[in-house]
Amino acid sequence: MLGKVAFRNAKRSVRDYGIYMITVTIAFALIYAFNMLIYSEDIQALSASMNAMPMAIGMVSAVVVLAVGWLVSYMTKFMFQKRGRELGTYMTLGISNRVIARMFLLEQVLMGALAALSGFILGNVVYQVLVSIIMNIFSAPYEIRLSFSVQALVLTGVYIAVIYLAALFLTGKRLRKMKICDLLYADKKNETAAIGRTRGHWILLLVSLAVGAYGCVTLYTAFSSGANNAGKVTMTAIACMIVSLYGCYLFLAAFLSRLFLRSEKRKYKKDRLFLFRCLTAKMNTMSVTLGTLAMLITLTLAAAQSALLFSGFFEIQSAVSAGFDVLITDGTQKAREGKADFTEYEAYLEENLGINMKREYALYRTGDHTIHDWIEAREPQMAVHWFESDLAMAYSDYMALTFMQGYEPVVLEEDSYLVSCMGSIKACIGSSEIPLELGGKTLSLQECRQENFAQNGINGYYYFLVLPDEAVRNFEVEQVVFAADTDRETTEGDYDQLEAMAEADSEDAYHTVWAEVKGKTLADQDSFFTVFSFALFYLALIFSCVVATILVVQQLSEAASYKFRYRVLSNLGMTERRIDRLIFRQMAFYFGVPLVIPVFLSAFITFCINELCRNFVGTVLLLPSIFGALGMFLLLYLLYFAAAYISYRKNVLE
Amino acid sequence: MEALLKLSNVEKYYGSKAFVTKALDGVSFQVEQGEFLGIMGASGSGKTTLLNCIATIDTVTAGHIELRGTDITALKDRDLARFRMENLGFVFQDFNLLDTLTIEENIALAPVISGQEDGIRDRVRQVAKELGIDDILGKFPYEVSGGQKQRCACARALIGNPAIILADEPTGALDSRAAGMLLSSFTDMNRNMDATILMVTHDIFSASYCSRILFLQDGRIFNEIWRGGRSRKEFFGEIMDVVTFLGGDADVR
Repeated sequence: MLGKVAFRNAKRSVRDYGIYMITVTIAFALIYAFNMLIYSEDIQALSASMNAMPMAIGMVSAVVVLAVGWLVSYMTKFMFQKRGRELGTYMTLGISNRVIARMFLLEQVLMGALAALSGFILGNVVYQVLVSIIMNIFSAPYEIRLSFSVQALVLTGVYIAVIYLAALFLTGKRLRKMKICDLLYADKKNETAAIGRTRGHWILLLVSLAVGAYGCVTLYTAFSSGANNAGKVTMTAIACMIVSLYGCYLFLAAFLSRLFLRSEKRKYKKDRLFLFRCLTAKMNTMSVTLGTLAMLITLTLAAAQSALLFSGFFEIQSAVSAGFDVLITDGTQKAREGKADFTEYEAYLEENLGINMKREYALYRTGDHTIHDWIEAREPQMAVHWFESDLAMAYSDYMALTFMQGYEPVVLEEDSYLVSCMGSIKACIGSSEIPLELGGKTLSLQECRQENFAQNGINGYYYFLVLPDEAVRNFEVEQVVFAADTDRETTEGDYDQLEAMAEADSEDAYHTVWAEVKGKTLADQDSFFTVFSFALFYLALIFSCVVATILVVQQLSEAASYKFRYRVLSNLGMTERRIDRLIFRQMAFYFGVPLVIPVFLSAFITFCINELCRNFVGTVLLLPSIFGALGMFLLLYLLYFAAAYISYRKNVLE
Repeated sequence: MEALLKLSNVEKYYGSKAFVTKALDGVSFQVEQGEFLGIMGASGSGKTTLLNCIATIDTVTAGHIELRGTDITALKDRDLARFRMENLGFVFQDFNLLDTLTIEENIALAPVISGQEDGIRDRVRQVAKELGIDDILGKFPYEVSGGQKQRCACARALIGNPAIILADEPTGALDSRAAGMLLSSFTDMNRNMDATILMVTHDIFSASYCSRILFLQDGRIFNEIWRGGRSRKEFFGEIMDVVTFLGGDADVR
């Protein structure tokens, strides 16, 4: 009988809390699909860099388990409160607390089992989608086939068990302590406000905002200056932001109601009184939950924005040198003395890939640092002391390499020089005129060219100069480079071979000779993109679902009491159209309030993260990342909002 | 004869040090086996608090409540569930039926969970027949009327042969016809099934079915009247007089 009652109750709960069940199922499906990725041999075989994937997904899964665990605990507690009267009835029938607890927990286990089972089935589909996306990224052939991984199943099972055991443990404690009187009359009790009605809330609100502002400044400092204790500073900043978020949502309701109720003009205008009272009442009783939701939304947005930012960053970074199939750089003393020897490498390439074009060239020390100083004076963080002076390339070499990469040729005018650089330097120099004094001659800057030309330590760092051949003749050589365009596409295997040779040629433990191979660079880019962006999107998707579910369930469960309130309004003469509009505004407010602070805060966090890769990419990726991620999040959020609005409206108006 | 239920100096206070509300203030009375006792009083007079204390739903601040010689105020939490199952039957104003169970399953739930499964179907059918709900046993609560729901609650209260049935405004959510039928069922249970009933009500019509009525005012027993050999109509008149004296606040149907 106990099992039967639990089964029927579980069936009813699945129906009543459909959105919650769907979210938990999606979460379990994603957890399972990502665990399958960890154990997929096909994926691991794509690139050596993919070995970072288990670690990244493992870490993200830990956070996901925490978030889903919070959702399950929250919902279990929520169902327990909503069913107080029913549980009280069991007690009046003489059923002991232990038996009731067992029955309630059995229901939760049944619901969890259903979600897990559906999650495993859906997870297989999600896995196929993820694998085909990844295979597509790596341009690897793939055909859909049914996959199964015992390890992934066990790992997901462990995660789900942890989530439910924690939720059941917390609820079990509450169930054993419950008093019949509290349960039977639970719906007659007032909800308690998170904070008392004391004056001075606006001061506390200001304090919270100040703490948040301090957190923001600290975060920016940590990311932009790259201080030694950056980890500690970042943690302080995050702690400040969390405190500030909770603080703002705790005191905002009290502050708003005070502000609103003071002005009778504002208060008694149209539907504002009803709308505002509903909203502040809700904020008063669930401000702590709102704080948590705001924190999750901030994390969601920051994760999605960072995912977009990093994917752009990896793309730009790999494109810098991807114009060349193979680059071997030799910075040994031998090479500087003009005795660089690339025959061994050439032979390997000729034999294995075939050489279409090749060029051996030098990067010269100009002995001058005019451009470096120019940049340092304007954008200090972009001035990297990698080489002692500005590096230069002979115009003839530049032309040959331009042709090798398939770029349009450039004519260097007399007494002029070019700067070949990355976007951030181009933004700094622009079309300024920077005269260069070299060997008693003054050269004028013909053009600052933003182009991908391996300015990643090979052809200078971020930039190099292109000088007339006769100007570089007497300069010392910094390093010699062998560039090749091969007949066939290079692979990671070729990189391993060439890098092994380079290592043998190096003079010491430092890599004075090193290889850069397009196949390896692109595979690395794909791996980084897959690992980082997938992990962050995974996190963002689950967090969005968790947040939206809590909002939807909270709202729908109150439809009954709101139905009464709206009926009163209707009796007082409010038309159905106006009520309809009021419902929409109420829901929009309710879904909008937890978004307000996180939208700005997450954009700021992304701005700080962008500081890390600003030298490479400038700020071109910042706005597309922020708005792209916001758009994706809002799309999902709106889906939940629409679901909530439609069923809420139906419940209230019918 | 030993009383079935005995209350001695029961007190119940609510609130904190600064604002103490005396919900019950030295209430003492006894209920004999087979009685149909009504408790009346204005809103806030302490009727439901008194019932909740007897029902072990709430605890007393001072005093003792004995049922069949057991002092329920001294029972430990872990013994309360068994005590309720063996001695008490409840009928609430809003039925408190479980909507996922059929009427039959609602009636059978408590005995089945306590392990008394043998012959449960026959017992349920018999009680249901006596209350006139044997034709709706297979239905779910949302499929039957309020009166039928309340009679199902009565059957649920009766099935375990409790020492006393406690009813809190049982006709509160019913129309007058259903209320009349339910009260006839109560009388039937009291006379033919030897059920002892304690009913809290502020409805004079419902109270007129009782054999004795206690009137509460401000947490104290203010008056007590017996029906004796009088007709229900005569008894109704007397209740009316007391209520009028008390200052109204009662339903007259």
